[in-house]
Amino acid sequence: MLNNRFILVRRFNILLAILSLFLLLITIRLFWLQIYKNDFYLERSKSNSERIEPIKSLRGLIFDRNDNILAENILTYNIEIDIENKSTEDLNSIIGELSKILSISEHERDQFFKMRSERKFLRKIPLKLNVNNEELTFFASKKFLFPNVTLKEEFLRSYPHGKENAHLIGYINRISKKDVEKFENDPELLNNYFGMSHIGKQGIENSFENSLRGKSGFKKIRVNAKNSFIAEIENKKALDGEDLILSIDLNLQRKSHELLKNFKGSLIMTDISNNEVLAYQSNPTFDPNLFVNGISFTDWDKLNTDPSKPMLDRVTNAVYPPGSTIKPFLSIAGLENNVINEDYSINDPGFYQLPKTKKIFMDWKKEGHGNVNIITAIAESCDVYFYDLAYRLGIEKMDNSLRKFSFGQKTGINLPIEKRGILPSPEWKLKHHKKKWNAYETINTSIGQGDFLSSPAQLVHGLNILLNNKQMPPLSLIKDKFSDVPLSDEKITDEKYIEIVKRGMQEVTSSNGTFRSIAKNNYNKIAGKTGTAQVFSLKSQAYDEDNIADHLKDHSLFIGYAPYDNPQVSIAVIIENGGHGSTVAAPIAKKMIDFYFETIK
Amino acid sequence: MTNLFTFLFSRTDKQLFILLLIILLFSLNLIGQAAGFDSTFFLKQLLFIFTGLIIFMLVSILNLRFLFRYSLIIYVLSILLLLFTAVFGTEINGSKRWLDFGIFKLQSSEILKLTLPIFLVSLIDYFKNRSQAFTELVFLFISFIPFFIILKQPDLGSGLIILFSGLIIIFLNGLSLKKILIGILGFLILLPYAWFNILKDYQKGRILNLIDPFSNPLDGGYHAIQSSIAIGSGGLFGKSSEFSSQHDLLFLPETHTDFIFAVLSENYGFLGNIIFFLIFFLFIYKLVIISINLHSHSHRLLAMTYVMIFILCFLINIAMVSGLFPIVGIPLPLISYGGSSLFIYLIMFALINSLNYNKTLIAD
Repeated sequence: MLNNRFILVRRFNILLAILSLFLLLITIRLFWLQIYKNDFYLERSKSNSERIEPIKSLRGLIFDRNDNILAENILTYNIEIDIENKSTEDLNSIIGELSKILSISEHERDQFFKMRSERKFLRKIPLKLNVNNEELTFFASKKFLFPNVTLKEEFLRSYPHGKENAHLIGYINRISKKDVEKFENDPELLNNYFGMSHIGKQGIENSFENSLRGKSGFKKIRVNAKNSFIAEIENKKALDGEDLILSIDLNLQRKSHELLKNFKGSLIMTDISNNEVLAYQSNPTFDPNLFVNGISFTDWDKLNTDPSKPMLDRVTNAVYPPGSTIKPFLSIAGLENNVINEDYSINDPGFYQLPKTKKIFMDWKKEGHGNVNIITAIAESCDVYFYDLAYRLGIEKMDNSLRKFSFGQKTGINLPIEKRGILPSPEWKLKHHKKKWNAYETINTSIGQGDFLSSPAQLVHGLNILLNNKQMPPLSLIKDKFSDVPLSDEKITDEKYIEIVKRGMQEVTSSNGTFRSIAKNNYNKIAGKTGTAQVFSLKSQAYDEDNIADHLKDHSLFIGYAPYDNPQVSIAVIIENGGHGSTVAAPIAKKMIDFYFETIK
Repeated sequence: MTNLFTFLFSRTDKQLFILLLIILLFSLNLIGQAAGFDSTFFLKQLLFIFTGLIIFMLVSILNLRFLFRYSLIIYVLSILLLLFTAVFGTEINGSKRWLDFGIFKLQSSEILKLTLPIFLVSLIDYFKNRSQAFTELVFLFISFIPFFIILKQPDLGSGLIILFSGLIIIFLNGLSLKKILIGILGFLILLPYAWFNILKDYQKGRILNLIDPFSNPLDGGYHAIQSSIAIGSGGLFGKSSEFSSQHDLLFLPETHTDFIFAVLSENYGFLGNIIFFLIFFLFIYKLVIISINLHSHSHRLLAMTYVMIFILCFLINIAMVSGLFPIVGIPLPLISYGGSSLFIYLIMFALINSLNYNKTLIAD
């Protein structure tokens, strides 16, 4: 019996020893949790019960120079679903129930799930945006059936004159996966977008994104496990975006939209004194309101496959051979390099033979212009005069002068993207084509052909530099915003050369000029230069405007200003495949300028 | 009346009783903090403790000869109760473990904690002339019957505790080292089989969650994470009032039952836990001394088995709440809210107390 008891007690002690080790292990675990990792778990416990709710900032409004609203925020109602702890099946069944009382399209459903997978930090995701009044009241009456569905007030961006300003204002769109990736490297930026759903994608909306957007705020609240509100801990107000007043005039926008309606092309009109843009129009155009809540696939496909490229901003993002519109600038080059002067004249037989070669360059006028000086050369757009000028000037001097008018450089206009065009030069050719410069290319450059490319914005910017005879600030879309880079008042060339060229441009609209059709009713004293840019060089056949495919037709250009005795506004117009500058682009420019003086002055 | 109390107290070990009262007050305090001092849980627990103490007194004066004599009937009745539960039990969270008696629900598997050891211990004298191996096989068989029934409820945790109580008796009764090794080997061989054929997906999930609770934070891992947060945020002295507590904000559910240790840890910190352990240590120490000094082998065996079950459940619950053990539904003995568990433990201690008082009376 004693032996029995001895075994029992020993066995009992063994079990007690094992369990003591277990207790020791538990104590170590508790020490680890409560002492060593205390800070970590305190933090976790805090974040457990704290929720941060974003407060959106209100996007700044965009006005034209006369306080007409171009981009505004209108109050709408969205239907949102709280996705926390919800599986895809749960969400599908909620959406299924909702679709019994609301119309929910396939597109809306797709957008919802796309947003759910892309925007990991969102708890509530909108399903149906901008619910109409009828559905709104209907949903409100059934709301108790959907505990996870909420009605959210939201300000929706709206462009009341959508198509008329599409390329200028651009649009906002939902923040994409790409945008989020960009933010992730910049915590400050990410904070500013906290709770925001949209970002400026194009035009002014994009380039002034930072000031228009403002900064979102947040509300830190304490909740319990059922997400019920317990207390507010912190409240940081949102900083609303700044309003923007453009230099643009809505009336001019409307007029230009109407004038370009039947053409592919663009128009830019500026205030000569300060380089502010008054009208900025590209056609065909699109409705920016389509983008605000995620454009549907059909609409997007339509815009992108349309051969007339409605999304292309033809003012700054399309470059064309400037054609004869380059001649006034080239004249300055000739004058300041003493290759020509006011009295210099040549005889134009209708063609030009490149010295020491057999290469013949035709004038646009087969029978020739006869005896021409600088004024008549500009007025009649005599090609041979400028071939001769260019040949004797040489490409280097030509480039040096043209560069002063910012050809081949960006105008600095406050838009997200801008093409710089090409001012051809031997260095440029060597770099891009690995070939040496040929003398005939100098001749081509002299009439704005060959590799020469510039945007309408560049043309008007160059014209403003010429008219002011000094460097100009970047083209500006903002009213009274002066460049912070001080500009020298230094004249870029002798004033008398400018006067000569201006006289030539004035003659363009006289009864002898290329734009003589205007001569009789040029009451607003328009001066300018027409241009016809070859899209396609026809080798053997002669150019026959009536028997050529539309897309191969010449581009029609015009640059001009008014009044010629006291220049106030300048304009550049291009009509793709429009034919002669004098027949399409120039009349549009005249109508714009006339409209400007009728309505504005 | 005074005589009745004197009579009852004279049969009770004073130190054991005082320690028991301290522990029960601790329980009331924690349930009050977890569920609210004005909640029905608190009031019901107050009633359970009061009833439990009366049961304790009554059982303390029980003559245990009677208990041993009818141990077979008691065992069979317990098994029938288990089967009855399996058929007529109240289903909660997908398992049938409870018999609903209105005011409280009886978890029938708890009864086996009490009755299985009584039956096995009573058999020892009966099998005095049989071989050791025979006794051990019969014990094993008897223990496995309730284990399988409870496994089907399903309640793996309680089932294992019942099975363990049988194994503890076999071990304490002098199982040879060779058989222990064979047993361990057999267990290791059966482990993969159990994993693939016996364990249900949610049970496997709980074991996997133990390894990495954050892998599945919203389903199985939720309790483990939230209770770790509650314990960890308690620090040395308990969480100061400037922080909101896990259970106040309902992040950790069921704190008054299985997870009550998290409330203790959160509110009183590491130091509170150590004090809590010390009180339990003293209580268990007292039980161990009483058990060792009982006069008959079968009495010692029964008392020691009860003490082991008590310690095991205590440690398993704390290991579970602190994330060292899978989440099995084992309440913290004497502390967690609930009538059946409390009554069973109080009856156990009453029996030990009775054996202790009667040791001089029972001629061995």
